Amino acid sequence: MSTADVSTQLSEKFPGRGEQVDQLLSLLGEPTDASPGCIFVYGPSASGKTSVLQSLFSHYQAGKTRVAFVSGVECFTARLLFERTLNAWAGHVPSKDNAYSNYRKCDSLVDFVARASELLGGGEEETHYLVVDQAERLRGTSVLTSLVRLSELLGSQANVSVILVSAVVWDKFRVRHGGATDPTLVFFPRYTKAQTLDILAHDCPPGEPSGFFLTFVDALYEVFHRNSTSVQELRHLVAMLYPKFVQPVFEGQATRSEFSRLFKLCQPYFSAASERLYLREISTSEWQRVAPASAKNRAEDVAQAIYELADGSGSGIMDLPYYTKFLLVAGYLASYNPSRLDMQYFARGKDPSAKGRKRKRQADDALGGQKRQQLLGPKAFAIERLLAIFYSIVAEAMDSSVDVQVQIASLVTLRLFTRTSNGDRLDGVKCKCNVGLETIRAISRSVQFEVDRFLYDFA
Amino acid sequence: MVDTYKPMDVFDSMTECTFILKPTTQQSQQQKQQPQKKSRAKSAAGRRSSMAAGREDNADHDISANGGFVPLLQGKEPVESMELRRRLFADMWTPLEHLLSETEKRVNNEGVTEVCDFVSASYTRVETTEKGQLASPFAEIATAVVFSGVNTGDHSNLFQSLQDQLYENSHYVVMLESQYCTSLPNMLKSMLEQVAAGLGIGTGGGSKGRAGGGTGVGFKGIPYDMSLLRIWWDEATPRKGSRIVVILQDFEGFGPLVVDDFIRIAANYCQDVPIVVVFGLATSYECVHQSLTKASISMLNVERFNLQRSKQCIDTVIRSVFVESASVLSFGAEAYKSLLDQFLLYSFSITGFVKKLKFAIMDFFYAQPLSVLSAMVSRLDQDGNCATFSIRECPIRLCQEQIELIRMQRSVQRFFDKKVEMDGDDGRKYTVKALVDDDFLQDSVLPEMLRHLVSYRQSYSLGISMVQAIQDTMPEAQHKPLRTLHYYGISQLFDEGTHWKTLSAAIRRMKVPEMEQLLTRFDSILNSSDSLDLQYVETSGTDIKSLLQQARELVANPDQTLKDEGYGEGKTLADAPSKRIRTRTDMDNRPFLLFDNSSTDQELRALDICCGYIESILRACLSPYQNVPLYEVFYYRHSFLLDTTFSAQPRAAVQTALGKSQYYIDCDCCNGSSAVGDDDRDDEADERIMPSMNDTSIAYRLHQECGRMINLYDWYSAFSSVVEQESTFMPKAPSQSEIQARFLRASEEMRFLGFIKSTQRKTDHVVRLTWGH
Repeated sequence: MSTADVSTQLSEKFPGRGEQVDQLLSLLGEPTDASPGCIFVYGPSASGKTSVLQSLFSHYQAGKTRVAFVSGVECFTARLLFERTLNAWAGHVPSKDNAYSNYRKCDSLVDFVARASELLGGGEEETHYLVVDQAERLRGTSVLTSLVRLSELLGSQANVSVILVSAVVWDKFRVRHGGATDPTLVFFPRYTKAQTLDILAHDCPPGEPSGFFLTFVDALYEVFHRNSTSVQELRHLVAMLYPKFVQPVFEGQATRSEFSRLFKLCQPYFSAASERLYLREISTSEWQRVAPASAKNRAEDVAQAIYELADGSGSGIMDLPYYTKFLLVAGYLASYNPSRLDMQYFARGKDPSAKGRKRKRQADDALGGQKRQQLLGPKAFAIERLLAIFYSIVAEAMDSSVDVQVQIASLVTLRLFTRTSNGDRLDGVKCKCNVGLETIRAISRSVQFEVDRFLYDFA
Repeated sequence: MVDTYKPMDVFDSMTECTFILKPTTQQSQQQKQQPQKKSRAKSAAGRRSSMAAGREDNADHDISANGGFVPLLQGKEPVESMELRRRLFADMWTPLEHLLSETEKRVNNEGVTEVCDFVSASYTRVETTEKGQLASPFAEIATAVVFSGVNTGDHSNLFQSLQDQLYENSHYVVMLESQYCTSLPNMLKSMLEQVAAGLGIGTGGGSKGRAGGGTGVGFKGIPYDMSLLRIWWDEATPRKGSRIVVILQDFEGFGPLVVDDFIRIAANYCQDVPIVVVFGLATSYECVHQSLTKASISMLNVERFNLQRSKQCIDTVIRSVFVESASVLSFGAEAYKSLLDQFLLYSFSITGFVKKLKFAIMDFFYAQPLSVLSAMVSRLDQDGNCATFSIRECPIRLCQEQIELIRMQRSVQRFFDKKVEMDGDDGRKYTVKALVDDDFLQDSVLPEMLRHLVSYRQSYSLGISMVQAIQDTMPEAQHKPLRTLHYYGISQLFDEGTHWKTLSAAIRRMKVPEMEQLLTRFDSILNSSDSLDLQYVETSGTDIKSLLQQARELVANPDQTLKDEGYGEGKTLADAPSKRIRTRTDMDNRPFLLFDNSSTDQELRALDICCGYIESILRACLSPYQNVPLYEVFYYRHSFLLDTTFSAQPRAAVQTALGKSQYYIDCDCCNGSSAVGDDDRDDEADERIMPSMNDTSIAYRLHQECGRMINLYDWYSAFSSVVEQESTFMPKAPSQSEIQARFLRASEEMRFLGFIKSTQRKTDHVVRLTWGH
């Protein structure tokens, strides 16, 4: 297939990416041309980098094994990366017959260069490509530096080009001490609104009028583009919300021309769900179980059902043993209250709203101090302080038994407390409380403890 | 959460015991430690509770024989009685243990099945009624988030049954534990090894099968590469509909970045290989959001399951063990509270609960000479099913001491008193005979007393069922779980408990149809338990069955019955004519009558009488267990022993060891004035600092007299003046430098134990970290 054909085909498939496709094609040139040693493809996530490259190569060199696609996340050692590359170039597939071994064992860069020149040195003219996805994972390793200059290392023996794909700009890759050449940069910009709509037009389900669909997508884009411009996220939302939106049409409640009425019917789904769907507090399958939109459902019921879906089903407060709840609350108080005020708050027989506190209050504005702990995050506290607060807030007198210590240990394993002192220090252990205010409020409500009375400088 | 019980911890809590630790490989019913009283027990006899008489033993007895069972009653217990206790323990514990583990499995099973169904249904297109469906742009991994409760100790059982069930549904299960998955390579290695073992893949090409184990050998030279997974899956032609289930049992323990990377990799393969991920979460869903990035969360299609059922499980256990008396040994109020508190307040741990239960049963059979009596009551058959109660003859003749012990029990004495009171002369004769004639006591009095116990247990179980039936008619908020009901049942009188009052109010609010329903339920409860023997409960003047019958008749036909009965009994229907609220008391007690216009007066009257009947039935059923003869034996009372054994108090132990060392050591030299051996040593004698004491103990006692700051030199002088007196019993007094060295060591130990710390504020001073004397 000629370069021009590939270009037109890809531009059609990937709206808004024509320029980049042309740029890449011009860099690759004819299969036998010597191409740049390293091409760096970058741009924000979900801007089509990987998909464009994948389909480009499948058209450009259809049926030939001159491209190796590897992922920076998956190839966590140099060996994995090298061996996969060689496998792809050699067209080798590990299987039962070859005892699942790779083409060659290849532990280091030296090995790799030797094996590669052995493999490619047979007079072949055509360029071999190595595409590394999520290349930012290779930062700081020697592999990256050598990949950038791989074609130099192989020299005249083989015609090799490396394409790095990343969401991070090249400046962050540059080695501090120089010595590395800069690769050729290809930038994939964020999609514009028109391009986004073009892409989503491909998603239009069969049988649906595309004009109607696009109006819906347009409206959704307007609502949503401030939060995220990722095309993938938008597609996800469209896939989740469109069936709810169009349902009244099938039920005969509204016609396709009554756009604002449809929106009104779909309103609860939009307002209650978009955020939760985006954050995946409601997953795809859970969402599909919610009853479809129709004029029969009352809006409040729908909103209620959605809230329950996100917050119910066990994800609310965790059920802790009685004293463990108090331990957690005590940990929160120790993390957020200054220790100098402990006497005021926890000494027995004294009201927490004693005068020391009032005087302090006046200095702060209505929202509390600028540097209040609430904004700074939890402080580390010593276990002794935690225990002192714990014994003072627990309603009934109790002996200090080993059970309490065990509970502290298990709170650390559950990551509700994080240990800040070293693991090898047995005494003077320090922890931080890793739980938010809302959870603590819910927990203290369940044991009838007014946590707000004991919190200093909270708003 | 984590169980506290370690064998080491029990050492500090028992004063007069020696411990023998046996290798755990012995038969399962043989136990780890055997309490055996020292021969010097007498001097300390006052300190330990009640059972002192039972624990004594001749010192030269070989205690490792007989599974640690030793003849009790100062060694006078016959061997066959000891053998019987040993056999009884095994007979009782084995089926009970079976019952407990079965219960746990059954309770977990429901949730486990849900997860299995989810796994089997994953990656199949769900047909929805909605039109206009679009495919999601993300390749989502089917993920089950399983909330398994905060007690991580019990999780292994839960996940084991999940794993077993997944295997049964022909899925391939990969169990990942956080301790072996500290990095991504480790995690993938662990996963790929297990998949290979499951799919029967090794480099040799031979199938290794699931149990094959040593898969690591075949992988030499191959990096752990996920792309192999796809190849294996295609090659292995797996069973249809099976999935690869990756279980992360303790999600909290995994490094967030590791899981994040793992998900991103797995998402690349989940279209070719059906990978299902199961996260075991102890806390809340928030944790997933905290540890994973947005990118990887969007690759998960999460379904949430709540498998936290330890409370349900405990309720079921308590019903079968205590309320329905699967075990002959029941728990008294105190001990039951200790058992339950440990569970509710600290751990939610079923394993811990079972351990405490086992300990109590061991204590019963090892140390209670009357535990042989449980041979006469049998409840469980060998399979752990509840059979009916039956009283059998005791397989051995009780010895003189045992008989005396029975006669000495307060409840038995009360039993005789009551006999005398009720039967007059006959009762007196009976009592005299029982007190004099040992054979008569064993052959006729004992079975009668035990029948009393059995009858009480049955009626108690009946009463609890009835209370639950009443509860079902009440709003959800007022329901109490069974574990609490049982606690009320054994600790409160029916007329006193607040919850019982709520129940009474609830039945008094009922109308005729509701009352009819309730009575029908009572009837079926009564009929469901076969071979009821309520004779002894009914001696207190309430015949449960006939009362119920009367109540039913009343409600069915208020007008008629009331006429016959109300006047017949002399009940003053006459003074209750048509007015509904007459007195202030009526107003206070039953204000709802003001609004109730639907019932006729007769009906109201009938309902009132019914309520009275139900109350007296419940009062009879839930009467305190202290009324039952021999309750001292069959209701476990040693809550103190349970507490000290399972909730060790390290701090208090250290303080006692230093401040009151004779409590542990029990030596003659340090007791000072108490050399005479009388029990009423006063505090002053306790506080005398003797040179024979341990150096640290001397330093500790001296420092107690100081204020917040301790002058090291003063402390040293005081220390040396005590230590110098060693010359009274040692050949020569210690030298100055030796004293100095010993003082340094003692004060260092004090610092190490956290009683003092050094300070910069005042030279040559240390700060005291404890208060008081």
